[in-house]
Amino acid sequence: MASVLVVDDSRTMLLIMRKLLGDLGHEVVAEAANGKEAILAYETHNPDLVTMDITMPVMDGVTAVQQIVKRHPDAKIIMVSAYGHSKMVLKAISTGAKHFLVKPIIAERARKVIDEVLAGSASSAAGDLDALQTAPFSIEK
Amino acid sequence: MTLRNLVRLFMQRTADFLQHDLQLIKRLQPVGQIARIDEVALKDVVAVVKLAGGLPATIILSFDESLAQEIIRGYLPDGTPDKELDSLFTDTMAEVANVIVANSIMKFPREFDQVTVSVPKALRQQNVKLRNMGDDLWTAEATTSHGNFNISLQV
Repeated sequence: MASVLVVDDSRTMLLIMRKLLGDLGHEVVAEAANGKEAILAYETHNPDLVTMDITMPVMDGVTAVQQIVKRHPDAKIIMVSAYGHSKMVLKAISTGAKHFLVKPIIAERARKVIDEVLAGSASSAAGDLDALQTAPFSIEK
Repeated sequence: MTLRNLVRLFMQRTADFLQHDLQLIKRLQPVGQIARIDEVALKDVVAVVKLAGGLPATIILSFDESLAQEIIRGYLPDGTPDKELDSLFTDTMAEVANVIVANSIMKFPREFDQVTVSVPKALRQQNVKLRNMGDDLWTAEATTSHGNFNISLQV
């Protein structure tokens, strides 16, 4: 069982992640609604794992990852966002996130990612990269 | 991509979300065509997502109350008490709108690099009409076994 800090500004996502992690046998030891709260909660609880939203008020998830990893290089952080586009994924990787999950959260995929990160076998933040699709786009009226 | 096709993209992702992610419906039927209009009647539950930068637009998703209720039940974990379902109603619909819009936008990440997205807002309302306040207002509607929904794009 791992201790987990869940960071998301959506009460809905906090509920979903709490249930998911509980079903997987892990314990949510703290929740935070923005990056600033996340940094404080990390210092207080020193969790085994962090799930981190990207777009949040006060301080975004990527900035929070930067600051947590700076003090705790071994921190295991999974980015969670509906915007799984490449730029944010790369930014998350470069700041030290171990993996990436795209919303909506699929339990089986989440379990696999969480297990890999906790086992230390996540070699990159590939996460849900396979869910990404690219296509040229421009607006015409 | 035309604005019509952009609305189609959002509609397809919404359909996919309802059919496959939530497994809420088996199929849905379009109501009329994707159309450029001057005014659209919104449904009971409205979620608004604003985009800026490379894609300055407002996306409005609106759902019949009955369909929204099913979406909430489907999106939140099994066993969530009714009281909590109700207290999380607008938060969950905003989250659902966030997922639908974001997943749609993921299909054109190169352009999305230059787009900023607002935190979605959702509310319950009745008898509200959305009028074209910009250059273009496009809308599409669909019907499901749990109620109707429409998606509008204001550019």
